[in-house]
Amino acid sequence: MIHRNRREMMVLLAAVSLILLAAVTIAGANVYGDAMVTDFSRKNLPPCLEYPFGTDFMGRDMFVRTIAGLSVSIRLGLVTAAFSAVIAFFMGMAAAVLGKTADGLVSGLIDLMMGIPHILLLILISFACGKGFWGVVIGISMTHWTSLARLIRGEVLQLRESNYMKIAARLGHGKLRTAMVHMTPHLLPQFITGLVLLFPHAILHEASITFLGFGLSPEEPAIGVILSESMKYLVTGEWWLAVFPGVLLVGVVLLFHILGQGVLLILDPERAHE
Amino acid sequence: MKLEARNITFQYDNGNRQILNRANLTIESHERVGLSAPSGFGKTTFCKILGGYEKPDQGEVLLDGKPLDVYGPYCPVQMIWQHPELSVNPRRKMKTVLAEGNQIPERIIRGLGIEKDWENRYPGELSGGELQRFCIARALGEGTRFLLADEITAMLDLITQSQIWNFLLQEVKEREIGLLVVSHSDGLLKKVCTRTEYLQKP
Amino acid sequence: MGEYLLEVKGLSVSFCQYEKGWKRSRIQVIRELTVSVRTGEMVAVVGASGSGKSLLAHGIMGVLPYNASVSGEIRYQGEILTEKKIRQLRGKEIVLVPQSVSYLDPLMKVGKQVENGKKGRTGQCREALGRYGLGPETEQLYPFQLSGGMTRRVLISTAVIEKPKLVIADEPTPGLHLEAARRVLGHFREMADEGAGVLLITHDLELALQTADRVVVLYGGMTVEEADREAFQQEETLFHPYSRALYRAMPEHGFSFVPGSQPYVKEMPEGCPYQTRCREVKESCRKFVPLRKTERGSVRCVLWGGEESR
Repeated sequence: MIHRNRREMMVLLAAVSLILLAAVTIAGANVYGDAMVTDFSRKNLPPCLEYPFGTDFMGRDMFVRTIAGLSVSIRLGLVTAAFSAVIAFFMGMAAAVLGKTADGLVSGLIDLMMGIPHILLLILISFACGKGFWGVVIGISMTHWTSLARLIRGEVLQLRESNYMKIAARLGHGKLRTAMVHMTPHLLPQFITGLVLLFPHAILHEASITFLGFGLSPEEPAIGVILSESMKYLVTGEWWLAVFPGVLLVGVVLLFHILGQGVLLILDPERAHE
Repeated sequence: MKLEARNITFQYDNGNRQILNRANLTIESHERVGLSAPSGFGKTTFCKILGGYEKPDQGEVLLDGKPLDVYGPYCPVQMIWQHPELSVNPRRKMKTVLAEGNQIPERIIRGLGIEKDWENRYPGELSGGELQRFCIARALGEGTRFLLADEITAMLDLITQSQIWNFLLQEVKEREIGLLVVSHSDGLLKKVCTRTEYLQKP
Repeated sequence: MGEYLLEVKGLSVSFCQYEKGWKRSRIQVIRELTVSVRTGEMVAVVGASGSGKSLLAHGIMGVLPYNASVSGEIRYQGEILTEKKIRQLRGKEIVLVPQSVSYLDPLMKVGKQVENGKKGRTGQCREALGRYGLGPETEQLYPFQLSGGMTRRVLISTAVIEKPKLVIADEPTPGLHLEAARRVLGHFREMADEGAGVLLITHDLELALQTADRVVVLYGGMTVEEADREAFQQEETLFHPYSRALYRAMPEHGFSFVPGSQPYVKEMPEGCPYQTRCREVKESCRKFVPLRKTERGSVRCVLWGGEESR
């Protein structure tokens, strides 16, 4: 085998994670219908060759259900991360650029949001928005923009005071253009990394509030639904209902984490030589 | 043209120490004025006020009797800073530094000894002396009438210092750009300036 | 002059770096760097930025970043300075006076920092500060309340309180007015006169010549010439074309310059690093040139055919 350096390994790992995640998402979307099929002739089967993850009390194929559930989670994570990142961007920018009052308001809001336990706020918002896919998306995005916004605020404040931006102003360049040109190469890597690292949060939160019954509706093959259903059957020894979906959920979260680390390593020049 | 600082008084918001008290200075286009004072006497601050980076608490900066703002977006008084590595964006290539200036002719770029291949590098890949040449080129755009040089070669070796100043002297003489030179080196001031001013203790 | 305290011979430092994407390459920043310091002697290492002079200090102190690799020989009092040894001596017998203010803890009062965490040294601390004209009231100040010159003096105080045998000063003068800079160098001179060895790393040849006993000229990460202070008083006693160019570039000595610039580390030519700008360049400059003895030191130039230096 060719000897690879750490950086190549990291990039490779990130690429593999990306491919795996994409594969799960696409496969899950295609078997969505199959995940709902009930067949009482094969109910409560333990894992076997035909049904690697077993079947549940309604004879549904748990492997197909798990993949479909993960696919829902990833897609939800995608939308949520994008939403929170956009909120974070505008909030952070507003705090840094619009003066002391705006900064006070946004910073106060950030502190408030961070002060209240996420899960509580999440359940409230999701419930108020009528639960379901969009309820969860809004709930999570509203609660998860804070740390990225804080990061952007700090970075922008620092950049605004930099000599090179002041010089650009004296050289007659407009404020907006200068900000775009000088800040983008600093903000973009932070932003993208923040975005990727939001995924695992979104996915875990979706699963937990769905588990508690405030998230996706029980008909959907969501991981949270699967896990909460499995609770009733754990005592009767049907362990496979919880173990496989649970482990795979953790796996997906880990893959996103690796992907985030890889992206960070590639995009951040300060860590370029690690 | 004439650059005038009248009764400049300045203090930073955070401290109560007054940096400048009723400082006056006049520079004509054909002059090269040296500015000498111990450290902590507000030389850099004075340059920043002259270049329009800071507004003085009292007093005014006038170019031919008019405030700097009326000359449009490009400020005719340009400042070159002591630390070139802080004056360029570390994440943008060096050619963007030249592009930021106001139509910098090839003559200036080559005259400063900037090599073509440096333009495609990031600031971290150049030495202080090489970065400073870019900063000087950037400040020598078409609209520049006065140049403020704040210890621009204090961090550089003797040969680079002499290279830069020899070019700069020729350029400001040719274009009749007025020059303010802040330096701790009396030898340099003697060589470069037509007269030297001493900043008074506030 | 005393015996050898520090001897650095043929030091090379290279870094492992990632280029665009994930290609890895090795760049050599210092090569064939030779310098020695005797007890009671103040030696200045002078070089342009990018000549690798700060790395010399970090190399001796054993604080290079982890992606650096070092070869060559560093001896302290005649013995090889191993990693274990430097760790014992660092901050006690061998001290570094860092170049930047950021080495002080912004949240700790000056007095505590000079005492260096050890109790019962108030007296020594006061004495060290007092030596550099800082009164007892300085002990109660925080670093941000100090001016540039005071900060340098505090940094020096933290060094001398340990009564070191070898002091390495990394660019101690930038940002200081001429008078203050002279005073700071005077303090180092004093330490040398009291028997310590001082290695002064600077870009400012003019200042170095006012206080140092010997000057080592670096170019492109290599020692090109080493001579005593008097040799720099006239061009004729300097032998390397680069040292001569430095001499002529002083405002007092003509303010002339050689065109071109120091080659980029990745494009450093084999042999003499100055060959790209030298007017007297020869074919033999492209191969390794040894350091040879001169009347007042040693030089690495093919134009000088003296005896090879040890």
